[in-house]
Amino acid sequence: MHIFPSDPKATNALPMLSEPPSWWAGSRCAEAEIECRKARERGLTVKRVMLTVVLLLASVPGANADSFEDFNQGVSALARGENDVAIAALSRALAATDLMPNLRPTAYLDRGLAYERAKRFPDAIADLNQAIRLKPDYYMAVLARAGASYLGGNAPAAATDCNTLTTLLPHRADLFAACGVIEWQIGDFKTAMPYFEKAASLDGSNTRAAFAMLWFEITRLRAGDANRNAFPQWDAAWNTSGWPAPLLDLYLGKERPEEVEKELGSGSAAAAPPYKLCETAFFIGEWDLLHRLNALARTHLATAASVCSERAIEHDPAVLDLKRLDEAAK
Amino acid sequence: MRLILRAASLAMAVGLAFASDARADDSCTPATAGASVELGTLSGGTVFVPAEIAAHRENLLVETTAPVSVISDSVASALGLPREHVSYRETLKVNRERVTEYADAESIGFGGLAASNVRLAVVSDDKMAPDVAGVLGADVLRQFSVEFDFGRGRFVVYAQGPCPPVWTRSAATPPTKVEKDGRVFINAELDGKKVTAVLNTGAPFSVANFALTKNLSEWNLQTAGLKVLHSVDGKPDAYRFPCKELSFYGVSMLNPPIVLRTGTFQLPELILGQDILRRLHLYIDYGRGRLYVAPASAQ
Repeated sequence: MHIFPSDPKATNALPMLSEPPSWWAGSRCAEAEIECRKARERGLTVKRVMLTVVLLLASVPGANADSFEDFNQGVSALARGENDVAIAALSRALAATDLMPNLRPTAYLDRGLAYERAKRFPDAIADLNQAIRLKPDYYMAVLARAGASYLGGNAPAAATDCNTLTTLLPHRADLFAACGVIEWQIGDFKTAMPYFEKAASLDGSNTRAAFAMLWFEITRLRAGDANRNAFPQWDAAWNTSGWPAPLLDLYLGKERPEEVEKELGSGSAAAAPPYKLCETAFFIGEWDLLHRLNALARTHLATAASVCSERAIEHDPAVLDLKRLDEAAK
Repeated sequence: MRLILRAASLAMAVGLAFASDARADDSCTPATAGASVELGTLSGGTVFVPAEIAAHRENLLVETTAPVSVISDSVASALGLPREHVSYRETLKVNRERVTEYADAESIGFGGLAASNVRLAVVSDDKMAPDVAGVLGADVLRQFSVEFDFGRGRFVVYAQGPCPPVWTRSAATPPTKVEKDGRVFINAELDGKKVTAVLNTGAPFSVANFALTKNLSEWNLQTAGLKVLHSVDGKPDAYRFPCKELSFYGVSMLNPPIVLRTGTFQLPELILGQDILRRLHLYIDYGRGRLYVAPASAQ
């Protein structure tokens, strides 16, 4: 699972281009106008041909051992999702003595990210430590280290980095939500609660805030906290019938799980998109757990674990609660 | 290193012929003193520059295709920039989020040069990478002539007017069009076939649009060995483009690392991202609508 919002898998890598760049307004260059310009410059054509300079790129094996070229190869390979190429090229760049000092932190960061994607978490953390040592205010490296620690199974270290980031970047709702989920998985529900509440307050009244409040409520119930008014008060202010209103209604006691499922039409893949099936299965599974309906909880959480994408914030918590159920049954 | 030296010597060898053209074309004095600032590199190879906004130094991602510059909500507040609502008639989105407010900066400066009265789109903090406060877009860039010296890690800003600096005399000048919104389009050639490309320093890698470029080569998506880079629900939608040469009317690259996208995305034929641009030394003369391209010279 990738709960960290700036995970390069979600930003720099290919999924970023599953839609036009944010700035692309759709107006293509007028070829005719360029042609006009070309005609004006026709006199230079012969000399341009003379000027041709060939740069052999990295994809030609052994073509260029220069550290700058290795750096370029590495960072662009990471952006394309070619992790092995990135690790090899950035290792060459870092081994060279002539790599520009201001590129070294980025080289360590990107090799660390490539290691993380390759599930080589100790290597990733070692590189990210180096990046932070060279550039102590490198927020992206701290964020990446939190992700690598989390994925590597060291949730307390991830929580420490996450908490540091929320201090340094106190306006990022996504960071607060990520910290909340880490604490939730550690089992420190009391610590997790204010993270979700802060995330919701930063997000205002949008869908993300609604999910932050859902997380707040399941965490509060797990913690046995008495502050039962925060969730209904927030819901009253939000006041919308859009998604995820049925899930909010479930935790407000206005709907039963079967009504939520019926409303969603879940169980039929054609009826709802996978992310809604995932969210529904997870939050109903959590509701089941809170009501000690363990058999139903197991079914719903197993559905969540299989339907939710690995990047979904609900995926790992569903797997974790299934494990907790198994251990409790022994 | 061997390659760069070879490239440099080639450029020098033919530079004299081109330089005479430049002199004949432009009788003005070449620009000498620009404001030079460090070009920082983010993960994936995109770049940022330090800029002075309201007497503070803030790092801004440089994105040549952004029609307006951007600032994060918290930085706009911290700097005390006055705000106003975006007109309901305007639709401006940043990373899928509709912008509702502008923040007005008296100036955005780089060394000794500054753009005055800049209107910045305000976005929530989590739309920005953690290490930058905003985006430096084409609305500011096009007030100047700008030089990206990736090899030396420098971003140089020149006042418009003087001719390009001397080094550009040995540079290639592909046919260029600067759109009203500041986006820079050039004619390039992929395997000898003409394509229209847009320069995007905010894109970490280069992308060819399959729908527009599929007739350029003999291959097709069933070509054996076409490397899949990305899939959605098991269906590939990104490949390594098997092109052999990308040329800018004077500077060419062998085996450029271009990603081929399928689908119906409204993309130009080719987006030149940082994986290619970082190998170059660029000078964009927004006033004259010209681009100068040379190989990056490291350090």
